[in-house]
Amino acid sequence: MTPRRIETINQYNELVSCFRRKWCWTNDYLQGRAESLIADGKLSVICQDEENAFLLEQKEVCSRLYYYINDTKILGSVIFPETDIVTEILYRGDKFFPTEERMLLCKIGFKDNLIRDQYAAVYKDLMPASINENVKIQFADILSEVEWARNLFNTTFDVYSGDFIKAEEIDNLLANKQILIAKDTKGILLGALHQTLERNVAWISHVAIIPEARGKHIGKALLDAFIECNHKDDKSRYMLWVQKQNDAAVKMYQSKGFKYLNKSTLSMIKLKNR
Amino acid sequence: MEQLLELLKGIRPDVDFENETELIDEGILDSFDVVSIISEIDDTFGVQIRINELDPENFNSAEAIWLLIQKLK
Repeated sequence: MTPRRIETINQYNELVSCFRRKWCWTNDYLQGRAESLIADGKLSVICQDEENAFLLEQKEVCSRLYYYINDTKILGSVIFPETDIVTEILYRGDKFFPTEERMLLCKIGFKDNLIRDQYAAVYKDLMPASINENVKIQFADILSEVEWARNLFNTTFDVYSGDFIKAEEIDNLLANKQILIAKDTKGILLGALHQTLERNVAWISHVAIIPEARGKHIGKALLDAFIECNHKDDKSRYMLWVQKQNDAAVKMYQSKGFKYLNKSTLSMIKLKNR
Repeated sequence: MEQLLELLKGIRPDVDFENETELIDEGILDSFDVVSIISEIDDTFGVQIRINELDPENFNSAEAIWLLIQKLK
């Protein structure tokens, strides 16, 4: 079935109220985001029968799938467009690992990609910052530094599951002071942190360190600076997603005082050429 | 109300549900949290919250969620 663009929020709401039934398998937590995706022409229905619906969000390097599955028996008949597709299953910790949901997605051609865990902290629970004299942290203040950070993030992170940063975003990243960079004493760039402020929560969107500088606590220095930059009072809140497999990063956040929120996402991909 | 607080703590143990009054407006809860809360409320209180009741104001505090449950019972 050819993807059909969703034109209005009413169309989306009708679809959701029709397919979101009590025992439905779904990963559509779009809510408020749906409206802006529809306005940008980025949300389509790709196939639909009376029991199951599949939505596609057009992303930079692939499409992201949202599903409403009510009848698993007719899943075999789903035909997806010839494009790279990623989908994510959110779940509340290992106790609730989505074994059955994962199997359903395997049945329609998806394979495991990676798992990310969500961590959070409030300022009063965090360990104090430590001093690292070998590194200087500051906001990127010229375009070339932001561009360097963008390339570092885009080449370090999984292009399907993470948020790919477009070239046209760099002006805003600079103007809004969203990129912290780490330099050594000679001014050589070692790593960067991308922060996003959503209402009163400071999010770490990306942190990456060049391979030669890993293991030298550069990430910790960036994290400390990020925390202090966004400190208003003891209740200041910080959140992030981290790849479960990245032991060094997980240990760094845990030792700083971040706590796992029993919230994880299993990313699965279906690539057109595999 | 105590049962609700226990339910909410089970979902987000890091949040001070007794005192927070801007859970949505401050970005403390996201849509996955809200959907998890709705599902737990259905299981615990037998109350189904429909899409048109997903007004952020209904989820800004434990008290607002409690009032919504009472209204739908």
